[in-house]
Amino acid sequence: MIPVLDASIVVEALIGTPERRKRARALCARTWQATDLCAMETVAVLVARVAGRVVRFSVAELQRELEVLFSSATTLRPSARLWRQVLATAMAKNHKAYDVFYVVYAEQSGRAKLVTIDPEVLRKWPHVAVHLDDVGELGEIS
Amino acid sequence: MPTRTPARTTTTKRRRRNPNEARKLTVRAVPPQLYARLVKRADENQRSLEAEVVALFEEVLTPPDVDAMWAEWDEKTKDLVLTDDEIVEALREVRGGR
Repeated sequence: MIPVLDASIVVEALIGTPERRKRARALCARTWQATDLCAMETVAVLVARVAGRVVRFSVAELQRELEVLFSSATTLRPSARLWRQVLATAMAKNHKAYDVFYVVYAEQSGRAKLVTIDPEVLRKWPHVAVHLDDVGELGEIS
Repeated sequence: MPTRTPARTTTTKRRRRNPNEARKLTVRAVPPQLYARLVKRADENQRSLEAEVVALFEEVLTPPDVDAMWAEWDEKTKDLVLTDDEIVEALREVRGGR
């Protein structure tokens, strides 16, 4: 089973707490999948939280780290292929569409689990979403 | 009764390859400009063309030392650490409304 990763996991791998970085990196080092929104959201968060700050790394270094994280992503499925189901599910659950793209993708990928740290997603979709805490140090999902 | 040709019984023994033995590779269709740059580079490095190509393969294909890379990154981002809540909050911000 190839896990689906939320953008929060990629951000954790880069700038999360030390324990979170370790788990998230182990997960990203294995084969994983996501919607194409994952790259966009990850970059958006990094720009929002890093741009304008005095930091000790270059953009090139940040790009290199992201390159490593995304190199194991086998599928970044175009979100345009998921919109019908996303629209229906997001309306039914009254939930932000962005999260639902990941949920629907995981649901459509057989028995794939969506790894996230978002408490709302974990609460609303317990059959498909698992917390990063439930991922072992080697990236295995319990 | 027609005579049948006997089944071929001789087998060609394949030489077992030593895993450490160097492999041979022929590269075709190298663009002339690229070839000229390769020759120049080999000259500069005082290597044969063959040795230069192998060195280039090694340079490109050797996997990066990811652990060392992450250790260096962690050192550089010691003062940039977001908690789970802060990451979820940042994602909600960039996602905007519904």
